[in-house]
Amino acid sequence: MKTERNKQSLQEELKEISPLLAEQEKKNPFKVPENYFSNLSSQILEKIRIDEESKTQNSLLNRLEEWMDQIALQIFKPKFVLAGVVVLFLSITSVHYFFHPVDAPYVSPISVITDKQAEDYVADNIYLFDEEDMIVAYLAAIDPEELEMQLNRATEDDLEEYILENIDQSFFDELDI
Amino acid sequence: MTLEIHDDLILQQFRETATREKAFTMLVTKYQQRVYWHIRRMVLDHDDANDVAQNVFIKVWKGLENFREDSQLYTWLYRIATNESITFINSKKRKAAISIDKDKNPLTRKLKSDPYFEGDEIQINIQLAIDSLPNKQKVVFELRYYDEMPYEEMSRVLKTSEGALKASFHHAVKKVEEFVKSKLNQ
Repeated sequence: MKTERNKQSLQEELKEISPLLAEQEKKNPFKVPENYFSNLSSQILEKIRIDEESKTQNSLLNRLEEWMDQIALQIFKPKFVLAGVVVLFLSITSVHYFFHPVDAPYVSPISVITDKQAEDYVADNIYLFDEEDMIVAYLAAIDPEELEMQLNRATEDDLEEYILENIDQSFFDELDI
Repeated sequence: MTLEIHDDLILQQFRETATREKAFTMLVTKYQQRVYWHIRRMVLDHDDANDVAQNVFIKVWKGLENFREDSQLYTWLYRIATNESITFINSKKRKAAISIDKDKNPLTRKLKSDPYFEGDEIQINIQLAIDSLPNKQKVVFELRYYDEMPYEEMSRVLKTSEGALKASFHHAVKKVEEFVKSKLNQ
């Protein structure tokens, strides 16, 4: 009933806009291959199955990849890496000592360097050393009495020069003096 | 006389894994002709219509579980079919624009040689006229002229006001008429 009323209203609307089209017999000029609609649902379901199977395969591959990643993460954890390095070091040194047994007593390479060579090295490479470390080393090496004598020998000008060269102005600003 | 399966039953059975495929087959069987012919009149070629229709039903399979029952199933199907057809037409136009084949009347030639088209000269001219319409007008013309869809339903499918649809149909009919008249006078 509703469809019939709608058809009628469409026909009236068409007559009003285009009598030419309203007069035309409305027929479907298109055809489909034989049994097309009988097979359509099974064709679509087949496509869906293939699509879902490939998705499952992809998800299996993804899971395998994730599993490999987790293994790699376990293997390359810092503690395992450290243990590996230690084992490798021990293996190499063991092999080395096995094939080159030590007969002569161990001599430290440092002990064969003269004081002069050491001083020259420090002078040439002074930029490599930290100032505080050098002061600590100096205080440890020098005799306290000798140190006191050296300090007594320092003039006020020496101290002033040292302060100006080594202490930042902001330090005095903070002291507010 | 065949009894039409109710959408509620299809939706209910689709939600159960065991009856999902059966429900989907029922849905395709119920709506395949309406969906196919809507697409076919938009894209014209059977192979193209078949591809688009299959894509539409695959999208329905993927989205049916989340289908909100506040709209009717066929309204939703028509909307998907319309969008898929327009996407297909646009992509085909883009490909044709860069093609070196500059056939002046490709559609006329194609329709005449199509084994699945049996229209006469005036039918060919109507199809050419529809093909020359902008996509939105084309859809409105198809739904109103061929599917005889009431404006109220069309408004739900295309999410456009009834007034705008009536105006669109009016313009489309006028253009088709002018096109056909010009061809008849040639």
